[in-house]
Amino acid sequence: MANSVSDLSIVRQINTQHADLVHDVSYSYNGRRMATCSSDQTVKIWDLGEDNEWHMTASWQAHPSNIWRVVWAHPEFGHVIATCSFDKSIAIWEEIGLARRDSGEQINTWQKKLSLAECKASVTDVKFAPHYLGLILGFCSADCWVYICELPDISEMNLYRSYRYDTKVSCSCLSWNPSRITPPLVAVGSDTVSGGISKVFIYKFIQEEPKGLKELVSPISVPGPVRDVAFAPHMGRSFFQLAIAARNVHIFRLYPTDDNFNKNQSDSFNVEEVATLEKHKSQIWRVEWNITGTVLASSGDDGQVRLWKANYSGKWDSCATIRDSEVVNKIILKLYEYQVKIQKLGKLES
Amino acid sequence: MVLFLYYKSSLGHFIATSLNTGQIQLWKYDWKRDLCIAHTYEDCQRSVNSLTFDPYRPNLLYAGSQSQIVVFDLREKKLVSTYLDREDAVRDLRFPYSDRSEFATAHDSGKVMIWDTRKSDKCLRVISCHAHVVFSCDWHPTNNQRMVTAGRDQYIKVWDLSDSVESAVYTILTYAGVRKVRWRPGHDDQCASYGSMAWDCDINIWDLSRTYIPVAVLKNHSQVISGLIWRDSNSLISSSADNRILLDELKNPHIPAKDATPSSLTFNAYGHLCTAIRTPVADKERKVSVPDLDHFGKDLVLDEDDTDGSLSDDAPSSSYAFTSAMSDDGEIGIGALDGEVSIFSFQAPGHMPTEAFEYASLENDGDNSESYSKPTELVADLFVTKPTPEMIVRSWKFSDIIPDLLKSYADEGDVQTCVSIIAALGERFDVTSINEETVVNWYNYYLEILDKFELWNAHNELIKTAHYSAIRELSFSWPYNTGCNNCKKVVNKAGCCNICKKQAALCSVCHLPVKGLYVWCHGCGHGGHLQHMKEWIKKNHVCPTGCKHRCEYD
Repeated sequence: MANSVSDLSIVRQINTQHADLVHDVSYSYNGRRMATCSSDQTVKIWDLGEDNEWHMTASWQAHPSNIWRVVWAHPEFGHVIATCSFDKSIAIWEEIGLARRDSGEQINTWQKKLSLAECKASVTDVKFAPHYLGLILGFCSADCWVYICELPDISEMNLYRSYRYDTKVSCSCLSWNPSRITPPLVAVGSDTVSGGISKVFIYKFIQEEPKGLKELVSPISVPGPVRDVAFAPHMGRSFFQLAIAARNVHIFRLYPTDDNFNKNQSDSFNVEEVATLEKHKSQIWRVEWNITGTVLASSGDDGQVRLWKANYSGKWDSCATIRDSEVVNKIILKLYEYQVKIQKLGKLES
Repeated sequence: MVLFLYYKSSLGHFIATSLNTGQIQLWKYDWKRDLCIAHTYEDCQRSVNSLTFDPYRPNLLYAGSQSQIVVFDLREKKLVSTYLDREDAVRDLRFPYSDRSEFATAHDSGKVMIWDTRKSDKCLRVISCHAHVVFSCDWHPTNNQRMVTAGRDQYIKVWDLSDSVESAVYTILTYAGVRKVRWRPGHDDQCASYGSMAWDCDINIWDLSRTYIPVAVLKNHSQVISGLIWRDSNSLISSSADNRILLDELKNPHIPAKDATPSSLTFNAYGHLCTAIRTPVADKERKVSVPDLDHFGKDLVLDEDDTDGSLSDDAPSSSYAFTSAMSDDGEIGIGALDGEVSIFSFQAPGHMPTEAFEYASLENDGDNSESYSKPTELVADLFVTKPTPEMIVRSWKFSDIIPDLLKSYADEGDVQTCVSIIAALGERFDVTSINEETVVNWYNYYLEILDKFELWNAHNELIKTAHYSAIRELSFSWPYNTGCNNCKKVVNKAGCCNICKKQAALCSVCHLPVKGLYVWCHGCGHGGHLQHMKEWIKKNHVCPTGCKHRCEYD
């Protein structure tokens, strides 16, 4: 079964009742909650019930415009999500239990804790930094800026400090490096294509004063617009793995060049491309790592979700494909109808 | 404020301008290309917000001011009529595209009024459109019964006027107040708008078939936009506070829908992958699907010895068994059967110390003890029934290769094995052989994984057994005194009551001492093993001890 491609049919479908495209879906820390956001300006929260079904527990209009991304904060900050939108702002929401006035029954509602409208264009991505750094938010916008926003406390959201960095090209996605012992890195992808290629920048977030972002290595160039970047969970590896969704799926490794890897000092990296995965043959929109960073999932314009895995020799290959079971069923039905027709024809002829 | 309006008619070329003071100046643009003031109207006392020449009666100029609508005659150079006499500022004044004797005005009160040019005393219709100021309104170029309005409440609304009760057939919620909206000629379902906020310098073109996202965005201005007019169906002229007037040909507009992610993915700790995939727009159903990758993970475990499937709750306990099965001089052997990797001692092959089982019973409350007796049989198979000399793997001093082994496992992402080996080796692990920070780091990642799986017991057990102070500091505990079930006196350290001379924390169901999680009812104080109490409470409502208390558990 190694490296053979298996078809995984969809086990469960949830009709989200969103009126337009669902742009992002995200599991909470323990995977028991899920958030979806859509062009129809709403965010919906789903909870896995006792009956092992997903139930929508909240749905509200979070922005007066399309919502691109929704992310969960680490549970140590409470039930907190962040959203970014075409309306040039990001918002932070917290779930708060309120006792209903008439019956005293507890109901949970989501309250807007902060709205940041610092950008001049659509905010394309928002991500929480690893939780041990504190409540820090990174976001990037189509007007070429990357922002890092430090929030002191969920109860005093307005005391935030933000730092920004000009990338000079329109940004489309952002990812934090989840390593505990090296300085926090931020990868920012751009969807500005010049000469057929676009860039992924890697910045270091300097935590000492003066705080800010510093470019570490020369940008990584890949063909086609970059739509998503994702650092793999670090898990104590001696290098970082970065997946890039562009025209193909790319996997890069960042090796620290000096021996100070563990000393919070490393400032220079050797960037090495490990794999270019071309099986989608269309624009890739999302990449996502599993919990240990050993399996990569990608989704493309071809309507397929592929899972990628490295074999023992380190060669990455597709290990599974997920298709919409309805589409498959429709094809099977067509084939069946066709067969029936042929049988009828055969009967007529005989 | 100066408002410009250019006009060409059989009477000549005119430009009308208005000032904040309410003064309206009429400029004549003659054939010598000279511009001169033809007349100044000073009948308006308050600032004029909108000016329009009547397209069907070329001698009339309409002005909407803060309080009224006034009509001037260009030939007679005087005020002809006044339409409204109350405190409601006019923001926009539009004539329909086809020849009718009506016009529409947008007002500060959130209303749009439709007037007959022949009746100045009373308006034909009042439509309550918006919650705040209506900044702009426009008649549909081909359909007389359709109108678009836009206001400070961030809405653009399309109205159907054919019925006596007007209804908004389309509602577009935008991200800022809308200053002006104009239908796109030649495209019945499209209109262009710009915002009223200083930071918003885009012109959005909306299509009514998809009201959530503009079909195109023109981003050529660097400051707030002040005016917009369609030249023809594919070009529009706009002016802005950056002192520029631009003609946009709409050849390569920014199309936001192109950058909208059509599909999305997320993984959770259990290997469940959730995807949101675009379905055909026709059925309007957006689906999120969760494929269950459990079997997929297991296949991979057998084939490629993957780690993510084997991260199950028995992991810490197997590492514990490994520790206790370790011989004193630190030699190990590895035997594999059924794809399971087990590590056993050679020196004491048939012997399994009892701690391993105690730990297992602690984790599973004793009811899974069958599965834990399996390794004993396995050991017996390997070492007792086949004690041939060639079966015994040569012993070697393993401590030198441990750092390399650990690093190699870590690079594969198998942090569980790293931590298990370190935890199993315990004090025998040479701390100097590997950077302490690295080891603490591995511990942190593994604890995070256990955290995600909500294996709090394993999490705390791992912290307790760690030989690194940095890890042990993660655990903080509060001491609680336990009272005896019988006499309510504080029990001693061994868990026995000094007065009653018996074990205090016995399970009320199985009458055995409870190690690990003890759950009790807050009402009567009786309790026992978590699993036993769960089963009891499913079938019964009263306390298992027979104290007749109706126990309540959340």
